[in-house]
Amino acid sequence: MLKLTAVSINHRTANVEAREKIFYSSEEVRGISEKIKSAARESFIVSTCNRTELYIIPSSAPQTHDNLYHLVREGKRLDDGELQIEYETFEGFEAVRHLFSVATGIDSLMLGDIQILGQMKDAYNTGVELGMVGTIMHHACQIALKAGKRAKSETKISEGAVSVSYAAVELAEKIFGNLKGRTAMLIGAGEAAELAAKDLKPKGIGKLYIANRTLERAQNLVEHIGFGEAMPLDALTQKLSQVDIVISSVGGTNYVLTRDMVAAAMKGRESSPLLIIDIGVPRNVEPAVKKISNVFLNDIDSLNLIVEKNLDMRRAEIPAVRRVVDEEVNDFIKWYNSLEVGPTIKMLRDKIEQIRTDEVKRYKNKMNGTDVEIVEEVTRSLVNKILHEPLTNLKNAENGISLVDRVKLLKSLFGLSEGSGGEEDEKG
Amino acid sequence: MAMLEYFVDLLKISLPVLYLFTIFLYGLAFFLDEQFGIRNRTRFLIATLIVHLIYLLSRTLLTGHPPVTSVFEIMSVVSFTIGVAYLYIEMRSHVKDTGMFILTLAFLFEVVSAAFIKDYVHVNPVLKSSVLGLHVASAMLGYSALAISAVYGGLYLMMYHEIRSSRFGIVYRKLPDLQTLEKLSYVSIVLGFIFLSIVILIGYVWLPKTIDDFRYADPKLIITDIVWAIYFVALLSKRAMRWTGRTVVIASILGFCLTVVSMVIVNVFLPSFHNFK
Repeated sequence: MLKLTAVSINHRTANVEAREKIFYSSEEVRGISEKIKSAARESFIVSTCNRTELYIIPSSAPQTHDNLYHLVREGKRLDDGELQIEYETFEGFEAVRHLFSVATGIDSLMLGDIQILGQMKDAYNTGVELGMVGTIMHHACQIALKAGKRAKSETKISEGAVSVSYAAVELAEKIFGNLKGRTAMLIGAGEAAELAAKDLKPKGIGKLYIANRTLERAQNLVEHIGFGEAMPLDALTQKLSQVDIVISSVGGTNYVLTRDMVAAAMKGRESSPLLIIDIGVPRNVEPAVKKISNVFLNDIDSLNLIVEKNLDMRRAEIPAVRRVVDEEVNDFIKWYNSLEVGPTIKMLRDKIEQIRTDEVKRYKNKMNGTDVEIVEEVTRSLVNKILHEPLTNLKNAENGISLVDRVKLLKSLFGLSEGSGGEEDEKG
Repeated sequence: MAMLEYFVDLLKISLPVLYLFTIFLYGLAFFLDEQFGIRNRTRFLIATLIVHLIYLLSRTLLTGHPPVTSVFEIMSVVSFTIGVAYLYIEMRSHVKDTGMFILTLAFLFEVVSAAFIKDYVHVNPVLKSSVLGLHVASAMLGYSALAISAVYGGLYLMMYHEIRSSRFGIVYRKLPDLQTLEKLSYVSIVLGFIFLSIVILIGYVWLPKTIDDFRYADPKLIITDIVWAIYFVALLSKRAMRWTGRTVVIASILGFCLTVVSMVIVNVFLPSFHNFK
């Protein structure tokens, strides 16, 4: 049985404050690594804003979940009385299954979050660099990354925007395709505008105007995001015909964009489409704007609908992702069990060889030199022929008995001791 | 010969089934994201087009003339060229989710062709000319490209209304963005226009030498010239007046409707030397 133990502090067991306190940077992992290595033959820490997990294959004495939990707390210098955090625990192949599920994004707070794959890769590299990851965790991490990639390419678990600001970007891409070189305008300089700017920037937006009643706030946002041009709200009409995407999120009861303003702007745009996203409550854009040809007006409800539909689609993909995880777990179990076969075969061969040489030695004095050579050859050939079929069947037989049981049976029949072949040095 | 006849008949019956199965695979990928459909749709389309090509060649061998002597023979060629033109566009653009819509057009042409096609024993000697092959192939590719352009235009309008009405259903999720659909529609028009230009050029050089009762005032020639001129003006207008988006695709759909209506009127109601039965 795989002696892998894991504790997971995640979005189900801890609130954001607790998760923040227990978060490990790679420097902090470095700090605790020696302490973990003293208790574990192999280990692995993955820590993100939504989870901190420690996987351990103990070096000698088994580690309880409580030990692991306290090890995690110790690394963050959290006193026992300071913050009580719940945690989940996993053992053996269930821990492997959990690791794979995390890599595929089905265990994420934001279902199908693909960032986890990169975070897991970084955690693995740190583990390798610090000498925490050994044969088994190396293989488990590699398969976890593979499972994550498979889930991404074979299912729709990470497709579609699942945040309102990203749904706005997705909508813009559905109209304009590539956003590179496009011009966008943000009306308002609050949190929503900042989020939108952060999502638009990596898409290669050519020009970004930030219009706000208080010019200073717009300038502050430009400075904060390091991109764009601030402008007063009353200059909006002049720039409107030059922009492709407008995202409005200001307060107030009057419409910031009226039908007449947009209609006038559209005359200067020939037939180029204009996307207006109104995420202000109450609405910033006169609903009649929607009637203007080539204008796409969508509000916060539209964006929420996109997010909801994408989440529904991702939820529907969970069974498919679980199938990927199951396949990879089965492959991992096969690989793990195969680790035991080699040392067992060696133990058996050594034992039989010992019997053979002892027996030949007993009768050596009664034979001449040529006879000894013949007997050596005959007995060696005999041993090889006798062992050939059972050892082949041990590795390949499909007789309904698991590999683990076959190995156990062989050890029991031939009295092969656990310590004699050294297989525990290789396995967890 | 009887063996060849049997072979041609077998292919004729198989082709609509093959097209239907290809559409089914594209549909599986479009509606259900089925891996089987995603992996095999293009492969099966290529296989179908190879079978279609073998059918057209075998038929030519059997009848001794290219399959352009009747409306139903031409329909099969159009079906084939729509498939080829679509495959070319798919490979260039990597947009595969529109295949179901375009290939439905090819399927419909092939079904009607397979149902009504007959062999003509007496064939106009003009049809034996190799220049005819180029002339007809260009015409078929040209009209197929214009048909494809209209289908992409239709898909653009579907997507346009999906976003404007904030429905965000399967059309929103699966179809390419509006910019890509507009580009595909426009590229198809340009290809259609180029082929149409080749048709007219060959026609004006080759027909007067080959046809005894050739006349420039023939209704079919005039209509072809008008269709060509309309597309020429539309392409110029797009450049001069910077048409984009909906204007381009509406022009494409109107252009194709006008082409179909004109061709039907000319073929059904007006006499023409441009009839090779």
